[in-house]
Amino acid sequence: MDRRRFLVSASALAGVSAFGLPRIANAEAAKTAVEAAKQYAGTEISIVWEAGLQSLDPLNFSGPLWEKETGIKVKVIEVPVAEMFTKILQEHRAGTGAYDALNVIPSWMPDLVRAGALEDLDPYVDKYGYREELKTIAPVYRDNQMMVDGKIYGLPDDGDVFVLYYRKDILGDPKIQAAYKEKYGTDLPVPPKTWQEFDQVGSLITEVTGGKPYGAAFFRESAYGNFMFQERFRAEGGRFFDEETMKATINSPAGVKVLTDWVAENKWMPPGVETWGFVENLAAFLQGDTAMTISWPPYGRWAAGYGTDEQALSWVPKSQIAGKVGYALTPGGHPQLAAGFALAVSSSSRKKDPAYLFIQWLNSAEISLERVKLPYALRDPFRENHFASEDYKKLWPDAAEYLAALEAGAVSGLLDLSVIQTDRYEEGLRQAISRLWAGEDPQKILDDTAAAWDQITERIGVDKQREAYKAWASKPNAYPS
Amino acid sequence: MIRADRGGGLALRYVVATAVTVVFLFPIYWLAIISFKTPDEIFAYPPVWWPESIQWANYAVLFMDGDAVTVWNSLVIASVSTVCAMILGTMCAYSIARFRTGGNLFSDWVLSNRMIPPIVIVFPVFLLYVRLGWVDTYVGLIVLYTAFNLPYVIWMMRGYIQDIPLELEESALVDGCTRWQVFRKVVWPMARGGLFATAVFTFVFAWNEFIFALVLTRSNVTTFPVQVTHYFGGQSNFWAKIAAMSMLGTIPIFIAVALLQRFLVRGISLGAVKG
Repeated sequence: MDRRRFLVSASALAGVSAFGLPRIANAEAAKTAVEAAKQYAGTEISIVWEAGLQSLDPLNFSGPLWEKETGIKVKVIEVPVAEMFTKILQEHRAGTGAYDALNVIPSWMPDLVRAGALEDLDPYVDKYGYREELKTIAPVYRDNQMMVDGKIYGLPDDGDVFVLYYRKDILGDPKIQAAYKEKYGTDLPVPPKTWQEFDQVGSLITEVTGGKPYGAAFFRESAYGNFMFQERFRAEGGRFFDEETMKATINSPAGVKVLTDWVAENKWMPPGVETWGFVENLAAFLQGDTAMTISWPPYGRWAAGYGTDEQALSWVPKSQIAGKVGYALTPGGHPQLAAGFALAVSSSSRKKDPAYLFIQWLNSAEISLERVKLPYALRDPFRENHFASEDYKKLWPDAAEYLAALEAGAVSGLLDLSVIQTDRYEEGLRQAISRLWAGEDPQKILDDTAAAWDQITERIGVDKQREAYKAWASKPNAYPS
Repeated sequence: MIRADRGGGLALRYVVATAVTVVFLFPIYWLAIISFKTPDEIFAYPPVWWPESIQWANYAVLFMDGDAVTVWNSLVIASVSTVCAMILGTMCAYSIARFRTGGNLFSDWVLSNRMIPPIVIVFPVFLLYVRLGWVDTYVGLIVLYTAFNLPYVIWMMRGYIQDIPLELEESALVDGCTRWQVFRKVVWPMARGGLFATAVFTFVFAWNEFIFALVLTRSNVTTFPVQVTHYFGGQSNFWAKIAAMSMLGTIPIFIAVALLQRFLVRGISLGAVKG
């Protein structure tokens, strides 16, 4: 299907003429990739990308620009995120060679590598001189989301990290501050740094304002709640497994406390919050209905109104809160590095070199900076030069503060659990959250979930999984240090 | 008194019928109304029951982006596979009904094919299609949907054909008709109601099918149910597009059912359903 021809051509022309190839000090990797790729002019490579907003990057900007620079055409294969893992494995197992380059969520990488679906990128990194520039990716992404068993299989390409967004005007409201002091005997913390403070601030705002706005809201829907649980569970001191026996320990007091706290928080959050996903939560925050929330970086950009006039973002409700938003680490100080994306090369590709060169170019300091600045794309800052970019800091009045929050998250953030068949364990968590909203007892839910986890571990093999878990748990950002 | 009772009963029937209609049509109304709303109206609380202005842009963008072509893909695949399944299935059904081809076991075996969960065969089919070069092609999905719908068509049409008095066909044969002429001049006119009813259901099965379409397409012949899933992102949900595309995908079914409604009732109440 020849998709988005109209938008692509229009945007490509606009993008190419506006950007050309930006000149910055560290542009070696991009230039090297372009020069090396010219020998493949006239060929077409395919890349798997999450369908929807994500794919506007290669469709409207990077794909056309790469073709202009190298003569290599990029075919974007859009796949819903829920189907990406399956489709990648399916094409690999059949050996079709239909996919050349891939976007993969880093927590999938161990499974994909064990299945043989990803190409070892070390030889390419050396061949095309990318090792030095790789070092400028923020350590949390570079050290944790790039390698499996000591080899490079993906280039971290997205600084996905949860951020606490709060309304400076509401938390700074003298009436609310006075009420807080009267009730708790201390100054209202701006922003709240612990979950207890968060609960106190949020519930008080709802109490004082009568729900106009509510103190906070989250995406509580189970798919997103899975990430939120992983973060808070570890912030409360929880560990996923006993490292020796590999018995699941999510039913520990830490786990029960998280679920119990969620139920309590919902009482001062908007009605129906249990079903909220990314967009419902975004709409409520942007329309001024909630004073605090936690989400991925796009909330910060869109709340400031950055790029929301673009047609691609016409689905985003108009921000009523531009200039009133503060950005901070989530309570507990260890935000979840939820999902994210790494660029990879399919091991069954027949065009590995051009595919690799394209992802090196995409991921390079020079081009990735332009990509994270695209208002409609969903790539978030992940490199030193992104966090330091003066151009970025000028994009909206509070952009520097926003970048600082992302950079802080990239130091203390917590990795998604990543073991063998991670998604089966996460499915257990998703089901647990659904049961929580159905009114079941947290301890009972987590006992059942732990039992289900144990069955998964036994099916995989305790020793095999222990090895994978130890490798993951030994990473500096697996648990709060 | 009796008249009053009758009047009361009639009124109650109207009330119940209206309530049932509202319950069944409400999701369609809600889908339609979302497809015309602005983002602010979509997320408004309390809900906006009627948009301030009709947002045709939600539909226009589907055509500008090229997404609407997926409805065309679905139309081609569902239509052609329905025609193929109806032709092959009706002939097979006639053979079973009139000549007892394969005996009772064959009929049961045909029906059992319908009971195979698609998820069980989808990957083997994918591997086969890779070899045949049929992945992401019209031919691939048309052949598969035809094969998958054949048991249903055969089973349904067998029932309709059995309902046609055998004497009529025998008379035609005595008058010098060939078997094909009997089929065309006697069986076809009498089984037409059932045939259309079966065709509508076959078309709907193909139109709504998701798992085969998801696995066996990449980007060239994406069908509309698969396209709708493209609007659910990890960090974006295009509700207006979801609603507009769903409406585009619903309209052909509405038209087909409206045009063939008079056959549907007859068709459903005849044939294989008859005791």
